[in-house]
Amino acid sequence: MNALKTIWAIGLISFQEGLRRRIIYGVVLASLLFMSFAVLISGLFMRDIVKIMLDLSLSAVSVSGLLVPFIVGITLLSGDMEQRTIYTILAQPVSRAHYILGKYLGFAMLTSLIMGILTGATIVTVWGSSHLYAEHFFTSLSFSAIFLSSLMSLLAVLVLNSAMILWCCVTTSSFLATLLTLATYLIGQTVEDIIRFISLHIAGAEVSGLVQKTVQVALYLFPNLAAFDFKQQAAYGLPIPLHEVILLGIYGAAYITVMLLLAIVIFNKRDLA
Amino acid sequence: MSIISCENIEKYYPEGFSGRKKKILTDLSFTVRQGDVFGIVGPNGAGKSTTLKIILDFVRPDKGKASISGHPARSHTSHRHLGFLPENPSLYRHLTVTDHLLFAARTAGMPRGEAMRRADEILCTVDLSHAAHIPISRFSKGMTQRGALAYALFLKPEVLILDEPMSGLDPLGRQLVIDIIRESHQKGTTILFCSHILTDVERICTQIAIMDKGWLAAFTTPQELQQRKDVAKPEMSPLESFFLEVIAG
Amino acid sequence: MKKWLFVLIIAASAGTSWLCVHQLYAIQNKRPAEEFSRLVFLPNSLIRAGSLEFKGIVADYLFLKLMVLHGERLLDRKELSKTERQISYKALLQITELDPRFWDPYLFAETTFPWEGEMVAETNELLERAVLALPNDYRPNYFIWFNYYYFIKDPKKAAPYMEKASRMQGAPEYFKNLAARMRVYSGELQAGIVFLQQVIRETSSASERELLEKRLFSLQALELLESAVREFKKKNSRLPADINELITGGILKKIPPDPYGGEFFLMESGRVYTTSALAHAKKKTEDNVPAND
Repeated sequence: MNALKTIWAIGLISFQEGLRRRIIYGVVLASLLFMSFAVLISGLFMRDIVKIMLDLSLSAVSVSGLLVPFIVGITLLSGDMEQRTIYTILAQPVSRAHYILGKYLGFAMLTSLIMGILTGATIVTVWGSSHLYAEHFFTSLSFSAIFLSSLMSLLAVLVLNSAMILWCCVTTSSFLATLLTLATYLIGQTVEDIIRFISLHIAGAEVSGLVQKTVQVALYLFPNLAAFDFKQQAAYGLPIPLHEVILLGIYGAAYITVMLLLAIVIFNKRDLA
Repeated sequence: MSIISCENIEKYYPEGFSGRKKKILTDLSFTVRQGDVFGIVGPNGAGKSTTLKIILDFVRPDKGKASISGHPARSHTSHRHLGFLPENPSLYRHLTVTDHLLFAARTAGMPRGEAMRRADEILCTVDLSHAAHIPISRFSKGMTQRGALAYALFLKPEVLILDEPMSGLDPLGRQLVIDIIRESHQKGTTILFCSHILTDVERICTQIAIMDKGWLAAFTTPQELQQRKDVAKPEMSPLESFFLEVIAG
Repeated sequence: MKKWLFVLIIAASAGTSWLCVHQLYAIQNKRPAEEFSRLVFLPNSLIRAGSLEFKGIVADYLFLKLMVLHGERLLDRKELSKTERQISYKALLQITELDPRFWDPYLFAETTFPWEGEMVAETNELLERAVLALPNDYRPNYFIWFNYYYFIKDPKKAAPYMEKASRMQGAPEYFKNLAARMRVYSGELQAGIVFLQQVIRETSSASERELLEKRLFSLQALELLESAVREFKKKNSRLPADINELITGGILKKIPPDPYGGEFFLMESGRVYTTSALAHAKKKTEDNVPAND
């Protein structure tokens, strides 16, 4: 019980610290402006107005969520070590495991808040546009698909957050941690496509056995972030299968657990001076 | 009864890429009894801060062990009833000192009402009541130091560890810290601190350890130093004189 | 620095920047196709991988660039060159690869390429993707049917597509009739009229509607004239000598105008055509003359 209270306390202070940074407000404001732009620009297209609006809005939701691991998270975590604010936390009866879990909770809350606000804005934007454009453009609109798509995008960012925490524990350099997190994101988004490309055995584009094996290993080692992308389904109002959502939830939870446990093991061995 | 103990602590840091290691602490052993004000002095690079960080488990020793109130340093339970003031206090810049105090309250399970009352009390003690809700980014160095001191004292710790607590403070700030240390000592708090301002150490400590090149060169007490007054150099305090003797020796 | 000097420097810099914008726009305007082609001729796998989780928005962006290219040609009243058509087609392949369910590119292809006289087979290849990606949508099959029937003049190949389209949910009721009327003389004009009416109903863009309506009026005029020719033949057991005999013969009150500015004329086969060839400054070849049914 005490452990949960401690983790919650660390999560809350991390969340507060992240929230008080103006970059968050800037991100939300920029995304809201982008969504307004989406309403205007979708009118240029012939008929897939809702698809264009949702492509732009849901992309804004994803991008703003990604700013947490890439900018806020690494700054806060590396900053904790570099500026020794970590002593403020560890001076209390707080284990290193509590610290890692608490930090993760803080980042998760921050990510959820940002993406939640922007998902709400997306829904308001689309609902508002339904009064601007003719009704027949909105026949495929599905709010549940929009919500589930954003939820899966959030889960993807939460997985990336856990990888980011691991990289921050592995390296003392915030620059290197950013590069490693970026690499994790890029590999996670493209590894599935690469495996499919290899499996097509296109003439003239044969791939060596070693490369194939490496890519297969990458699929298991790095998070398959592309699997969490349902933006296109939401854009067309297609149903998102519940069993897939559940499977992704289990996969995400398992992957996050592994990442955080590894982070705790590495962090436990580290000197904080 | 010993509250803080270090037994045969050794610490190495790697030197470059050659695989060689530099010894930072050599077979360090000492205890701090309950109620003591234990000062560690030494030249720069003697290993004073490293010693404190090992006791606090911020740094892991390569050999030996440390403990606080009977709990191994590696266990986070050793930090119960502990207050720590680091050398360059770093508080979260975008939060207020009250936010920090409430964090400490949450980890201790203190109800919010009680926490707010205690926060008012401690901020008054360190003369920061007027800055309770101002972000740390707008604090001066002295205010930050006092804010960190408030954080260290918030939960009425039984053990207080201070790393160069007077560093960078103006005379008023230094006197405030000395008064707080004395007050805490009177209440029975065990205090361990390191400093290179010998005059302050001499005034407030009940036990003094001199470190040099990673090991404990000498122990003394104010009473012993009093006896050495006659042999001390006239322009120096007894501790300064003894310190130079030990380091030169 | 003196205040006036500061204001002067700001004003001068802003003014220069403002002037440059116009110049840069004019320069960039001359080579949109060049830069666009560099983008669309990148390997498909590279664009796909590079789009990460933003394939939808990248597809939207490419489509927007394509529309800008075509829009500028429209404003200048210029037809796309062969190279630009190839670039446009490649762009549509990229776009539909990234987002196969994106309907606008398919519609764009269908309302652009075959009507400008070329790339019907390529349009059909593109539409086959839509058939797979949109299995519950009758429109891709309908468009493929139309292309085979109206442009390629191969009703045998066209038929299976209309059969499939007519059985799908949402398909207009008259599809069944349309399938049945495919073999009727001048059925292709009817097909063209029905097709255009359907597309216009679903188009919101004013400029697009204008183009499509123009085409529709011209087909309706042709249909009216051919209908009148059939009536004349039935009445007089011969074809009229020329188009004006339809008026003197009491079948029509007047010859409808050609929206493309040409003049309607009667061919030996009894089909009606126009000197404008239903397009802007297009070269008339034998292939453009409708076949005798």
